[in-house]
Amino acid sequence: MEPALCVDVDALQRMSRSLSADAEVLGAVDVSAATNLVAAALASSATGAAAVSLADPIRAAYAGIAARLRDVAAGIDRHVRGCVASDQATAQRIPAQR
Amino acid sequence: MSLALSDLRAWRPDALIEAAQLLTDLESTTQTISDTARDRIATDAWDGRAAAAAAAAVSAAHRDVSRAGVGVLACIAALHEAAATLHPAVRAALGIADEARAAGCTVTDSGEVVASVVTVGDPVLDLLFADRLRERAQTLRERLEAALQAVTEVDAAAADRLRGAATQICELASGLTSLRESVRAVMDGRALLPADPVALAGFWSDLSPTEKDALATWDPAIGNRDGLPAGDRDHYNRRYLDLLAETAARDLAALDARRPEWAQGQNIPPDQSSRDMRVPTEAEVAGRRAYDDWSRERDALRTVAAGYAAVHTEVIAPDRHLLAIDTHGRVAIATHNPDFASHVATFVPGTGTKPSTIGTDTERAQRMSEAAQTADSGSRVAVVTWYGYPAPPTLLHAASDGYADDGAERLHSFQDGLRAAHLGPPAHTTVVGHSYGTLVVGAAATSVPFAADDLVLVGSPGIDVARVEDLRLAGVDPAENHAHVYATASSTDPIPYVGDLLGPVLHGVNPVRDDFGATVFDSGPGEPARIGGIAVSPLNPGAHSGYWEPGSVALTNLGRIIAGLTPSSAPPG
Repeated sequence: MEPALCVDVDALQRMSRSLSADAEVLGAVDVSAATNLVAAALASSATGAAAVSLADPIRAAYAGIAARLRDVAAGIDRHVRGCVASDQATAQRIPAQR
Repeated sequence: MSLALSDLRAWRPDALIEAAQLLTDLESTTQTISDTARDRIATDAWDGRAAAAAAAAVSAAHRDVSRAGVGVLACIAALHEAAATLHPAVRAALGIADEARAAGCTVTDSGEVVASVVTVGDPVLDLLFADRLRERAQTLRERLEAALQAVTEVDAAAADRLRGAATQICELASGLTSLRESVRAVMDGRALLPADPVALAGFWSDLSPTEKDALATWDPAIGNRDGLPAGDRDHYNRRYLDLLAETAARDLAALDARRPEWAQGQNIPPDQSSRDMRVPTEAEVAGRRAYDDWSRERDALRTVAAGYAAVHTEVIAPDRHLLAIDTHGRVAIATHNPDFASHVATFVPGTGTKPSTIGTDTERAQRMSEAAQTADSGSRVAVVTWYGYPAPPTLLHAASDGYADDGAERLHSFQDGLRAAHLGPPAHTTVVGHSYGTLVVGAAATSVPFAADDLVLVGSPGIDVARVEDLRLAGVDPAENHAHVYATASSTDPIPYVGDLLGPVLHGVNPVRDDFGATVFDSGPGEPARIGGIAVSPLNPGAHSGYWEPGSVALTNLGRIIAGLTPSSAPPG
């Protein structure tokens, strides 16, 4: 069996939290304020109507990327928990010095 | 659906620019977040298969943020183009409606123009007036109908472009990332990207963000290609700049690692001057030679790294666009996006220019941009600092035409690319050469028509052209060149006297001379050279770089020419 990796748990947890925060920002991307601005300023125009069509795909594109970053953050959390559990299990198998 | 005049009056096309700015900020923010995430995962604190898998996943997300960003850039371009085309079309239609009302006609909201009934009490005169008013109303009705039709068409075209941008992003979001055959052929080496900027602009405009990104992976320097939109050039060149800076830093670290003691200034083999007349041993000579070679290589790498750092500093400023960056010292930085500008100038500096000192010239470009904006306050101005050629490093090197000939072809292509990528009505384009840069401009504007409306030659040593009629500007009759080629020289600037004294054997005549035929404009009298406040020479080398002093006559006139206006005054006789 491979030995458990020696990892900096604090550093990985910070990395996971930061990635989650990045995902939060990307997932919250919303350009409807901009597209609604155009629609209102160019009422009855084809341009105004077309501008509105930009909002959903842009939001969906960034939401998809955000979801993947969240997955990575969750993966790092699982990895940390696994490493800690493995470390504890190994420690329990080593007989204490008397 | 037909548009009513009341709709047009209520429209505010400036909102398109506001929306484009919001999307620009969004693109920049998401890119920064993505860069930070990628850098964070590439840490020394974590190693192993899980670390590699996480890095790969974040790297893929980073790539997709870039793709989404390219899609957003397409939306931004579409919004800017809509603003550039809708604004004049609406203004023209409303202008005709106002003209009709001023002529005494009644204009309905749907655009009908009806002649008013005028009676003066005389049946014959009344009939005559009625006929003339009907004719006038008919003419105005036809003009207004055509103008409203033009608004409808421009509106439909802008909407199509926006929907196209939305479709591209939809494809990205739904994961339809297949590449079309023409893109695969380029990436597989079975075909080449079009070399002609106009053809490349056409090819590029059809691509999805995924395809653009795939081509950028295939050629990280793709942003240097003339004909690409400025937004995409900037996007990919910034990524390329990061790559180049990282590579230079790595190379420097590797060189230092080869000789860590020399890198710390220790154990440096003495040179001959410090050996007290003793004849050095062979080993000492070899040791010193090895150090000199290492030191030269290190200096060169540090210069390259300093160049990338200087470019990075310049493109941090708001709205700057990095239009070119490569490993040969070529750089182009625009003050604003030239694709959306109504006045675009390309500034070609001269001897001694190098990336590490580009800040001096981007500052001059910024000042010219502001001066042009002052001259034409309703316009959008972009000035590009163009280091697209290896400039002669010293005045001695500047005696050669070779540097100008090398630069001419690239400048030609760059100008073609600016025109091909421009959105909306064509921009007024100016190319400003300074010092040896004027020689590059002259070389570019001979033989094949050069894509510029006006040329400005500042502090020129001569441009190897005898008369303005020998220059070729696209769309300008050479007989009219005198109104499109401007020249100036401060009376205390020594460089233009090179043309006066050595013209026949060096770079030709000084272009401010009457027989050259340019429109000569004032750049102020200049100051003589002084030592301790006392004038020691009528010529002052400092005057050669004094044309961009804030508030100077020269700068004001440069701004006016870039804005498509005539210079404010001629030089004193």
